[in-house]
Amino acid sequence: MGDLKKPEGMHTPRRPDAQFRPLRDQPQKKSHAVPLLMLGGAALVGLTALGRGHDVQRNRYDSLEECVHDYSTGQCELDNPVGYSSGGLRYYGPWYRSDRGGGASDPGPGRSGPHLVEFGTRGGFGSSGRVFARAS
Amino acid sequence: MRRQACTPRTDWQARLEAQGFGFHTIDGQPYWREDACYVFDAREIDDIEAATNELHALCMEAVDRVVRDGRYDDLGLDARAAALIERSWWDREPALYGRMDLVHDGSAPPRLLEYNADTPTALFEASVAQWYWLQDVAPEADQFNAIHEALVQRWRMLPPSSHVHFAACYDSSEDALTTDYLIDTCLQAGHRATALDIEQVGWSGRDFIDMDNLPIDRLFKLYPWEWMLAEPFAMHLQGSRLRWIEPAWKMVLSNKAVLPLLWEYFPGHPNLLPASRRRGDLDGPVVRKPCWGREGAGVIVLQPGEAESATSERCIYQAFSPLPSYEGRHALVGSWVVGDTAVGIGLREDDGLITRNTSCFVPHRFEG
Repeated sequence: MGDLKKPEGMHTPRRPDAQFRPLRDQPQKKSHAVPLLMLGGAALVGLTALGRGHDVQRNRYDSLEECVHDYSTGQCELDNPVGYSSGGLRYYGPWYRSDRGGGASDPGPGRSGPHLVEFGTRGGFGSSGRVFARAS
Repeated sequence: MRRQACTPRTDWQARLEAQGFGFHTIDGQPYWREDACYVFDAREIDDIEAATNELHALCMEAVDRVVRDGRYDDLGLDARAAALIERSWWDREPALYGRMDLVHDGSAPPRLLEYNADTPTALFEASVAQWYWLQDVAPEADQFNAIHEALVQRWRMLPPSSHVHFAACYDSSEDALTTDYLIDTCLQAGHRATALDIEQVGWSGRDFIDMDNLPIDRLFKLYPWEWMLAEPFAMHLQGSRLRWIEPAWKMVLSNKAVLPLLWEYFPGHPNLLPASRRRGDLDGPVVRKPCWGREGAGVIVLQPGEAESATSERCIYQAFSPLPSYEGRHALVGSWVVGDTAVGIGLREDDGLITRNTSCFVPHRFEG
């Protein structure tokens, strides 16, 4: 671990809004009401229906025209290749589910189908939670 | 403060389950107990509320000093964590909530044991379950619990009709209930909410995305920052436009290494206990705590001169201040902060000196 301390004599200003005075006690101690919209009912936010993560992908094109041939203009954009933050701009179609299981809202692989494909990923968070207890 | 025997509601299990609170009993042992309750007088509640507000202000001051002085090594935080903390702090990213664990015996000022500022649970029990318990058993009585209304109000800090995603380990019933309850309060504030298991969060190459492959703008995560930083998607955190709830600067407070810093910054403060990274700095019995421990894991009490077991975990030491005991049950006050305000408490009790994930939640009321 490197030395992250600010050098001696280096003056870093306070955050302008930093006052940090304790607030006064509130006269009302108890909630007047505690309504619940969904907990305990059948209208949970679809949590029980959640599946595991899915991989996603998008088509890469050398020109806007090629992309528009497969998708609409509004679905095509200039972007960096996955994993690179600069350089090598390309045209891309929208992200779609790799397993074709996205339903009507999923834009799918386009008219020509997948050709030059870049993959997004899921599952990049969560591995520690499978090992340790989570809460505090 | 006293522990009073109570008659449980005849249908208490069914009533809790109707609210969505299914883990009131774990492995045949009660987690929620209403055969007893804790009774405070109004002065004690005022003391706890004032102490919590005072401690929260000290904690915010401590974050500011850590950022200004770059005291990340003292917290065991690396340059990546420091960059995230500084950006979130200078951008004034708002916090939602936290829970301070206090030792309170009614004779001395409440003192801070730790601040669960990043991923606190036992929220539903404090905010909802004990509120309805009081409505059922003594509706005329009072309780320090304005947590629900404060949460709904706090969500209104976001622009109207915001879309907030929520991610948690949904295979944990406790995490699931905490997160679902926070979703409920977010909806009540007029926002849209989408729930994800933490493993379902995706990376598109430019944005963190949801299951519809849409970019996530705001993500509440019941998942510790230090775990996120140890996982593959950590490489995308710095460049992401996503706003996290809790924000990255909470890493300073959820780390028990902040306790020695608080004692250094505010020595002798009546709401703090002496704490140090070196055991020899403290007199008398001490408690050794892992900096990133949870639910009491790895916490041990050491008497003067007692040899301590070796550990590979980074630890701090804090002067031992035993929890008060009532009928052999050691009671811990969990004091809730929403935004910057103390808004309520929840009591957990245990046979042992250290509160753990097997400790029971017991409701409270106050009088006078």
